[in-house]
Amino acid sequence: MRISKHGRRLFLTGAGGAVLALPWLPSLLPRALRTKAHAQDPVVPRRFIAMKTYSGAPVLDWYPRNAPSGYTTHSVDGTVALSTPLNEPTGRHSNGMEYFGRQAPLSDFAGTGISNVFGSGFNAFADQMILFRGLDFMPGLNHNHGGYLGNLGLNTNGTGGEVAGAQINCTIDHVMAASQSVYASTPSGPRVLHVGSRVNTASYAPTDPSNVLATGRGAIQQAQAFVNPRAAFDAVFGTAPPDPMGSGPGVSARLVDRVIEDYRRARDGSHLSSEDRQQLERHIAHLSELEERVNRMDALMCNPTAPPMIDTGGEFNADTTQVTALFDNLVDVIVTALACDATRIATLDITKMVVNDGGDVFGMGDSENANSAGRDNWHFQAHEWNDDAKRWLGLGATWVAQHVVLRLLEGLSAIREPDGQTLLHHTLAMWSNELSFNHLNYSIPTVTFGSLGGAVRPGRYIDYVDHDRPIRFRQHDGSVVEGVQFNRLLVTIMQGMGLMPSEYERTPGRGFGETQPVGKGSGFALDYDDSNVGQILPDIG
Amino acid sequence: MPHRRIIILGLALSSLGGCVGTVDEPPWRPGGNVEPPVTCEEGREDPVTAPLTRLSRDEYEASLRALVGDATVDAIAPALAGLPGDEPEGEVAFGRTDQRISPQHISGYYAAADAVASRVSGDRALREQVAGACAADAVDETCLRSFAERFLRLALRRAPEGGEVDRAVSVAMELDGFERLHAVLFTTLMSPDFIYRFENRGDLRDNDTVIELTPFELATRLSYHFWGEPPDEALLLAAEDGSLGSDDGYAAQVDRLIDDPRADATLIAFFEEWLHLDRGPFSSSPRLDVLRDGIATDGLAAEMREEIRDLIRYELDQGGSWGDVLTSPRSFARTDRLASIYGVEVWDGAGAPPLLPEGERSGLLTRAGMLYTSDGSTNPFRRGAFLRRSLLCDHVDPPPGDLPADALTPPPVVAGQSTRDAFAAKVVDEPCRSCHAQFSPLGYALEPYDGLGRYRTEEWLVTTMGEDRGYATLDLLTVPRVEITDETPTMGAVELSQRIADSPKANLCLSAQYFRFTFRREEQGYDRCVVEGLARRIDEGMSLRDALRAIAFEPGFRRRRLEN
Repeated sequence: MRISKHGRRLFLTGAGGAVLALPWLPSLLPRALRTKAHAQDPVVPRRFIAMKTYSGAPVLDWYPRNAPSGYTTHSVDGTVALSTPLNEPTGRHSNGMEYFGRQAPLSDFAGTGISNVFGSGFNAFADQMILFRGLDFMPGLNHNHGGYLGNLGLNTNGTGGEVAGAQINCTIDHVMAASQSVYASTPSGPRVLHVGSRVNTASYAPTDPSNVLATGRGAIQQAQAFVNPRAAFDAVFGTAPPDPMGSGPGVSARLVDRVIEDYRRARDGSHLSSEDRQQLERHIAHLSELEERVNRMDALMCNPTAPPMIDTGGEFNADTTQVTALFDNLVDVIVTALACDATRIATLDITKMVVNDGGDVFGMGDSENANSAGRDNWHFQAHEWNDDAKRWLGLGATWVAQHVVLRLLEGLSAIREPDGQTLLHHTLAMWSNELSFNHLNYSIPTVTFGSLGGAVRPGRYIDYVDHDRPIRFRQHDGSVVEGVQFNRLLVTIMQGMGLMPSEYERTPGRGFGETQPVGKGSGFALDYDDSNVGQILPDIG
Repeated sequence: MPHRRIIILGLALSSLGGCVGTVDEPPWRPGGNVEPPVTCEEGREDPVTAPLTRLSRDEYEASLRALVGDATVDAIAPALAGLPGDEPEGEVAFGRTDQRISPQHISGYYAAADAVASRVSGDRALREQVAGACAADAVDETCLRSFAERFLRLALRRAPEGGEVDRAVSVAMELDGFERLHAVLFTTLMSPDFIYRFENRGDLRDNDTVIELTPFELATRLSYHFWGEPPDEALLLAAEDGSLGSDDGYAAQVDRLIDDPRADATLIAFFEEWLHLDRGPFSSSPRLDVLRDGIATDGLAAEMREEIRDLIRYELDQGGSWGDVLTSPRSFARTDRLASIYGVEVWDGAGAPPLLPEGERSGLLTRAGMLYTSDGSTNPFRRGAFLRRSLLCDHVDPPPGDLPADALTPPPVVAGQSTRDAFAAKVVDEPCRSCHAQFSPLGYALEPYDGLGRYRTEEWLVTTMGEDRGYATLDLLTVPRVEITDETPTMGAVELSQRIADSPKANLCLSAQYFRFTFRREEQGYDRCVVEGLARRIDEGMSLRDALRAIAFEPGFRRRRLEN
């Protein structure tokens, strides 16, 4: 057994001392989420992590298609149909008809894994997960500078700059990072830890202050993008990482092997049935898995070790070992930065992924250049959309989920905050996409993990698509039909992080980002309820 | 020579398997799914097989509270929230029968043990409270050993055995300061003897096929059974001084346990889970908005559930039988709105409960808490399947997997057509018809009550979108087949309740359910003798409380049969 004689006071207890000095007053929260916050421990800060993938998503791989007992499937695409309405309506269409999203416990789908992308490895996090369907960008946004975080008015250069007449915003990570509700004092690390496999504007703040949303706010400085984990680490911790004082999680972690010994002794005891012994064997196996996990996390817990310098090369043809190492280390830097409370907001820009096609392993990279033919060009394959492309894109998304996202979740869930809850509980980790299917932006595949300290209610598959509406047309397995404005997710996140609407709204009551379907013709689905676009998502808390 | 009887309990408890046949010929196969006959001899001791038992979620929390106090456990509630609830796979199984162990369980145990250890070791007042005054400012070996001896006895629910205290102390002494206390707390709360109940330390008998429970194991079984908690000091002392081993001492402890209010809470928990009382609140829906007709539904479901709890408490206290619960004519509505649903005066909780309107309601099945649905609709299939499976302990096959997509969707509301007629029309053809004949008539008998539990003589038809479709006539005549060969019709739920109360099935099912709750598994082999014996006593007039007490005096309660 490894037991250090060098007593460390619990980092998180120690850090809690600093945290206690920070205001987290429920009374300052917007009314919509204030009640939820009152029920929570007031001392633990909330964190936000955003992850983005690119170039259209294989939407059918994201959502459940194996119908458990009691469920049916949609005839149009074979995805599972939900029947339980949410407790709050999405809104009313122009004909006055009120419509509701639907929900189901994610645990209902655990038997076969939630979906191709969210396989059985996610069962352990199903109670912390919300799988969203039907979150729609309003304007006709194409490849973009952070649409998933609210910059809904600016296409990337390759697809034509501004959406005519649309509002351009800095992304909400920047808005939140500038708020006193998130940082009452200057954090030791970056206000936004913006990392990824490409220097990009998924986390975006325009340099021209006149373009910035901010009500009464000056320009917000663009967060620096880090593509090398060592550089990101140095930005968080400088050259002299904090010397943690304390014991705590480390003590228990180092005692697990002694506990396992007790179980082995019990298993070998007399007069037990074979069933009893099997039960104890299972217990031992799970304890061993736990031991490995908590020891890795103990090493991460504000006891940071500098990661290596990693260069994953150009846009395509990345070395898959290097890509894997890059994301392992970037995720660990994020977890450590949040665990040490050096920063509370992080974005992870995922422009590269690994595909394992029946043992044929290769990397794919995203690029604005869609014309460079090759299986390593993510963007090109998204346009190809033949059987190979669909399979590769699905496998790539699955790798992102099962390697990058799961690693993040294991890290966040292994760290306990002073209130006894996990860091994951106090975090909202969102994975969303640049676009949905093809170049369209209906039902952006989006998933969140954690509950922002109890502000949102996870454990659910929520489908906001109004399946009673006519499908205007279909492309790449996706349907153009009304769901709910993506803007309401942005409002939910910002209010959950403690911001008042006055901190992010240009016009009172109008929420955040472009809310009108500018750039979309009459052939699109357009009939949303504009009156509640400034509100949080229905039945989310 | 002992009297020998052969009983075939499988016939009574699980005879409805297999959906074949016609309505005219009962579709179930009498004798189907029957286990081999079991020979029960009067006076024979039939030890009940009890495998290693993992504490249920509630028992685990109660055990933590007993060890470190309510305030500490309340403070670590977020960590405790990570421990999964008990959710057995079977639809009618009790949560405590869920013995699975998963990574989430391990993470939950870890988080809770770590949180308790961190909190107690890091707080001077808590250190004094839990570990004693000697731990206030420092923890030396003497202090630690003294604490470990006391803490292990309570946590392991037995006297520490050779080397256990030494091991705990030696591990802890490798650490510094209060981490030593942390180590003892953490390793003990993670230990197998805390998380599980072991029953493997006793003496062997009957050619090594049976093991006697040790006094500590027996004390533990009794306390978790009646209280859902670890043994208190009196029980531990009775185990230590040997008095629990005598018949009188054992009876005295059983009486003490069952006379304690904590036993009532456990018994109520049994009925709540068996009867699926926690059906959630009313939800907002266009249909309910119309059907509730001005009745505020916030909190109403909780009042309805409490009324059923009061009914059961009342019969327990009055020496009533299970049949009395099934046919009680009294209302226990304590609020104006529930009393107005029943058409009675509010009960003050102390005096004689008012009588329900005669002919409208009688007994458990006619209580609003058994009848309401979240959107105010009624589903006779669900109601009937529940009665058949849970209250009569008959097996009902689940729907086949190859049904058309809309087969399980409730029928639309059509003007002039009652819910009963609409549902019946869905299953008029095979393969639905013969299966539904098993249980749907039981549900039809409850149609005199709407989805808010209100008595009605005609049905108000409201669609899911809240559209009023007028009224439909109710047809109350059904052939419920409580006994599978009984073709006698009933008229409404009051008659049905009496029919069920008069059936031996009701007491047999109560006995089987209580056995499953007590021993955390389905009965098998000799277990069925225990179930049958208990049912026989109830048939002979034993009160509900005495019947539930009696299971502790079954010979098998104190012993365990070993695997071959």
